[in-house]
Amino acid sequence: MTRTTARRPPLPLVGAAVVAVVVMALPLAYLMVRVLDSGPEAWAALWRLRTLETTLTSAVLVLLVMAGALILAAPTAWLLSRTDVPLRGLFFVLMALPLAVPSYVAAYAWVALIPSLTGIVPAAIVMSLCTFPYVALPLSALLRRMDGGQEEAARSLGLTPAAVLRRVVAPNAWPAAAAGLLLVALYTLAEFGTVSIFRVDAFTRVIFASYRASFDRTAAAVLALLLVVLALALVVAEARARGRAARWRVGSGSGRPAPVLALTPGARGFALAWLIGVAVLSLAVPIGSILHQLLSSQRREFDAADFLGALAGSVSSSSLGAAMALVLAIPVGVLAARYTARWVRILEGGAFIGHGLPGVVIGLALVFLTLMLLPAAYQTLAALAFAYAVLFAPKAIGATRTSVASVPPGMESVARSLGRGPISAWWTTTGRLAWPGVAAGALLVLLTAMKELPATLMLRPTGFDTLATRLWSRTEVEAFGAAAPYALALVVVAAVPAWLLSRWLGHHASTSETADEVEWQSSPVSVEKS
Amino acid sequence: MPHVRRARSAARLGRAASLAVILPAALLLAACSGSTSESSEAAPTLDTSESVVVYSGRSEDLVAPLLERFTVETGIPVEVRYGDTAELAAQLIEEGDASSADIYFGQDAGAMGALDAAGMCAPLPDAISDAVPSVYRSENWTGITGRARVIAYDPKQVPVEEVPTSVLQLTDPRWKGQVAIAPTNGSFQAFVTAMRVAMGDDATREWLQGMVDNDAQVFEKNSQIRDAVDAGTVQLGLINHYYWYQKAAEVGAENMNVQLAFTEPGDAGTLVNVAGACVIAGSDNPAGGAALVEWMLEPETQQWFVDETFEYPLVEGVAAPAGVPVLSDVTGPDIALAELEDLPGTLAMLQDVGLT
Amino acid sequence: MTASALAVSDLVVGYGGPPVVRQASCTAAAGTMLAVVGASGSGKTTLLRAIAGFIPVTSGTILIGDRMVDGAGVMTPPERRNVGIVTQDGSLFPHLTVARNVGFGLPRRMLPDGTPTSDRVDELLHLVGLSGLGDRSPHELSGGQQQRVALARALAPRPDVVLLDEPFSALDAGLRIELGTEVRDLLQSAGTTTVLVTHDQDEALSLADSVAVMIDGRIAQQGAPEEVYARPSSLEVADFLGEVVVLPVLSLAAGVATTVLGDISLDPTEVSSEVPHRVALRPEQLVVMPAPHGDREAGVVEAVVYHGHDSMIEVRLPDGAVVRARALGSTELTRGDPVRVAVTGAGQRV
Repeated sequence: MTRTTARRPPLPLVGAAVVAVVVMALPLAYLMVRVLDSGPEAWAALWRLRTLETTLTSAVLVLLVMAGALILAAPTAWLLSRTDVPLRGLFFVLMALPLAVPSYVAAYAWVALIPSLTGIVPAAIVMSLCTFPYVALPLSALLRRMDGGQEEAARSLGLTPAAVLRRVVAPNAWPAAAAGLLLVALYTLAEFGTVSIFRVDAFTRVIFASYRASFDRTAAAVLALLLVVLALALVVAEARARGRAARWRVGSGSGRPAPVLALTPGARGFALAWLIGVAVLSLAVPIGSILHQLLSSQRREFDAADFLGALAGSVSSSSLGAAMALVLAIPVGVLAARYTARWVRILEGGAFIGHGLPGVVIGLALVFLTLMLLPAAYQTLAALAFAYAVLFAPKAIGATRTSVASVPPGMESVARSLGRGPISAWWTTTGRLAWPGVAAGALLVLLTAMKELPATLMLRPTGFDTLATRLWSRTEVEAFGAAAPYALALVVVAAVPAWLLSRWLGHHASTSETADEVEWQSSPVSVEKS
Repeated sequence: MPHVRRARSAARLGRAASLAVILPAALLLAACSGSTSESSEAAPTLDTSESVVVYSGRSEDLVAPLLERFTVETGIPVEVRYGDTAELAAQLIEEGDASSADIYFGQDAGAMGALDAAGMCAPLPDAISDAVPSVYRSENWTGITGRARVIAYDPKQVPVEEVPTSVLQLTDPRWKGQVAIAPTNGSFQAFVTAMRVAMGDDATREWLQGMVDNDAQVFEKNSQIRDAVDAGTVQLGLINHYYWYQKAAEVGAENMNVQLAFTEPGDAGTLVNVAGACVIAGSDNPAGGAALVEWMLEPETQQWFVDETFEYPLVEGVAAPAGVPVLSDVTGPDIALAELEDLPGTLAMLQDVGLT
Repeated sequence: MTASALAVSDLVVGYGGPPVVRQASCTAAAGTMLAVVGASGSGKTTLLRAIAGFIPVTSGTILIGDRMVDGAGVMTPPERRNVGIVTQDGSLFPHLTVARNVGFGLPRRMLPDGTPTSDRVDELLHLVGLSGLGDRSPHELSGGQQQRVALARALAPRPDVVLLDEPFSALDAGLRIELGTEVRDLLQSAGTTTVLVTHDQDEALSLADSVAVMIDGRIAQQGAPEEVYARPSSLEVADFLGEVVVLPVLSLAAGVATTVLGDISLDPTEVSSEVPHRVALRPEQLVVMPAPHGDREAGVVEAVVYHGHDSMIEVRLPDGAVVRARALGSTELTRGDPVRVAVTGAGQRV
């Protein structure tokens, strides 16, 4: 039975989710404190014509980048999850890796290649290339897990494969895409590095000018509030676009595996051309530029001890941060997946409030809050990891929600009826089935944490370095030759979890299935008894 | 080495004459003050086992070897925290009394002025204030090295004789759309503030509006401007001089296309800005902090800066970097950097014309 | 005999490895229901999916009506076969309402003959007993209701054949029987040719017009339910469709086999000249009567299992063999009672 129920969610889940959302919204508390400190001049900054102009520019940029990310992500995810194009595992890793490249590195690489590149359209293209994995990863996970039975039923009802894609696959996959697009939009709102390199007059320029020029944190806080409002608007828009239907898959069993399309040789050529093209534009250009700078540099000092220290720092802080982020994201994602009450949707939206804020704002917020609440923890590794969790947990919420929602809730009841306690039942059914999507979310957090800069600079223990901070300190003085190993290391280190995730998502699995497997998957109770 | 455009000979002669008078006097002064610098009064005692915590907006590549030498020479351990100059200053202000910093070392005077205004800087000991000309410091913070504002130009598009000698010429239609500026950058803002002090608000506003009307190209960073001029995307750019050297050290001077030109002494465009330091007011090791700042002003250390970054030394007795005009030639309007406190006024003006 | 609406001949289907369907052949007459019944792993679902066109066929032919959809270099894609499918969990489209689901295979507004699509949708909803639920979302319905919607959806484009892939196995027992009968009646009145795949032999026997038993990728036997049950062609078939009592043949004479239970006439339709070694009977053919104490040829009751509608009585015969007999309702026999077993009806040689 898969009836929607209005039953109340268990209290521990609600408690955990509320605590998580409060934590993620902490930066807002900081902003409110600063704003209350401010005088009328700070508010005057909001009503300037320039603020309106730059906000409009930012809005246009957000729309362009979302469109670009979707155009890049949808075919890529579909090719990797639903066809037999060769080297799927490799391309999946390549698809995830642009997240590992700091955006200013990518932007700089493009400008170095084509110096006259400026303006909103080139900026949007480059940012789409950097952010499309936010959409492609969850989309790929969902496409892989979709119920093939629906698509077969549609075929039998007379739809061509293209029509099935349009009328069955796309509507079912849209929630995952929308969640990714929300992240893309919020990232674009908060982004400064690319915007400054391409000289786009976006709203973040105004905020950064406020910090850097006038050192006026109150004015900056007021301006940052505008970003919060914009972020909320985006969250609401995404929730609406996601739609109320399809909150979970209808059915009692595990359904058929998603069908895999065998490509004709001609189609295979096009598919490979597309995938290679995307990889070249999103990865080869930045990496090629880094290598070129390395080779043409006259200062190529490399200190192995520094490098290893930075490597250890990156891995330790970002994995700890990703783990904490999951702790925050999972309760919210599970709650949002299973319960459709309005207060749940509002709660979930609250988690994204701070997600449109630039890292410098979050950094200052956490400086303030840590010193106020727990001074002993200031500038420790734990505090840094916690900062990553606050910063990036929202990235994992969408992926968690989408993948938990794709598992019918009836499975947990079946497991309970077989004698398992509530947590064990949840874990062995929904947990097992949803976790590839959750893992995709964790990967997003891990990769973005590794390249995070402004909050890291402020909150790290003195003397603690990550690959990103070392990269930054060298690029600040344009010692690109010395910077190159760190940039490359970021990409290489990111490749490891990306590769692991691609394996778990089954991109290495062969498409031939025995009839036994097929029969087993179509039997009503597919609960493993291990 | 960059091709440098020098001031007209007549003015130069006059300057050389005045130098001949001033320099010995200055040296004398330095010698006199040097003998008293050792016995600074009421300085807290120095404990060489206690470390100095530095918040540095200058890069690690530069500062780390420097501070290692300090530790070797004095035995005082140093812990350094690196960050962006402005964000670090904001963080310091946010930390307030709870900050563990002893010294702030920043890229521009604006950051230090902000820290001072927030009450984060302790008064400088006499030893320090005596060593640095008052033009380059204030009561509570001091410059360590100087940077000159220059016009970067693309020699392929602009022959050297056509490069403007004054920033006021940049509003000429000849340069429409070809001048790059970085209005959100501290050094540009300091330069505009200097122009306001020297020429008055109205003239400055007129110039700024003229630049906007002349389609001045806005960039975020000086290094971007330098690269754009190097590539020929724009013909001229207003930057700090050492950016040229920074890139030359990376790719080789022979591979650089862009060249530098200095504007006339006394011109509003010829401002020397400073990278500087201050002792943090709530520091728990003020003696150690002061010792570090003093050490950075010693001739050997100043010479080291000259060699590494081609910045100007600010103390007497150290030669300017080779190939650039001497510091005394690179004088901007007759103002002290500390007078550039009306940064908010400059920002308001920049906002009004729409540059920020 | 009406022309067959579906004819599968010597079908071989594999996934690249050893074939799962090995030379299977079966037919379904127009307007009738064929049940393909077999154990898990027997290949029945694969056979169904091959008929639907979701799996390429290695060799053999499939004809729907007089169209060859598979075979001799032909492979018609699923959307052109005009075959409807109802899966085990219905596979309704969660993002569409019930009405939109049902009308999914139809043109949006109007059918080619001018009827508005909504009329046809209403007609089908009425047919499956769900009138008025058109605006609901699938997840608001119960499992049984969802299966009805799935059926309505499959029937909407008037397919030549409807394929049911274990459609009732996800439902509870009572509902399964009720819905199964309803569906069968519905399909019959609509005159639709149906293929039902199931592992439940009760379902197959009770609902279908023709039963095909699939063992190890082959159709071992196809025929009317009574035929296949009472006259199984092999021991495997017999064993699959119900309980079997197997007795060794002691001697054979003129169509009568002598066994430990006495003489049993053999099914005359068997034409084989082979000497049968064994005879197969159904438990309901054995009648158990109490025997007087001391009867040397009496067997002993080993166990009695009561099922409500019948009881299974396990008897140990004097020669040590154990046979099971079925009695209607309850019985007064208990463990240890001496009994005699008689046989009614004919046996099958196996």
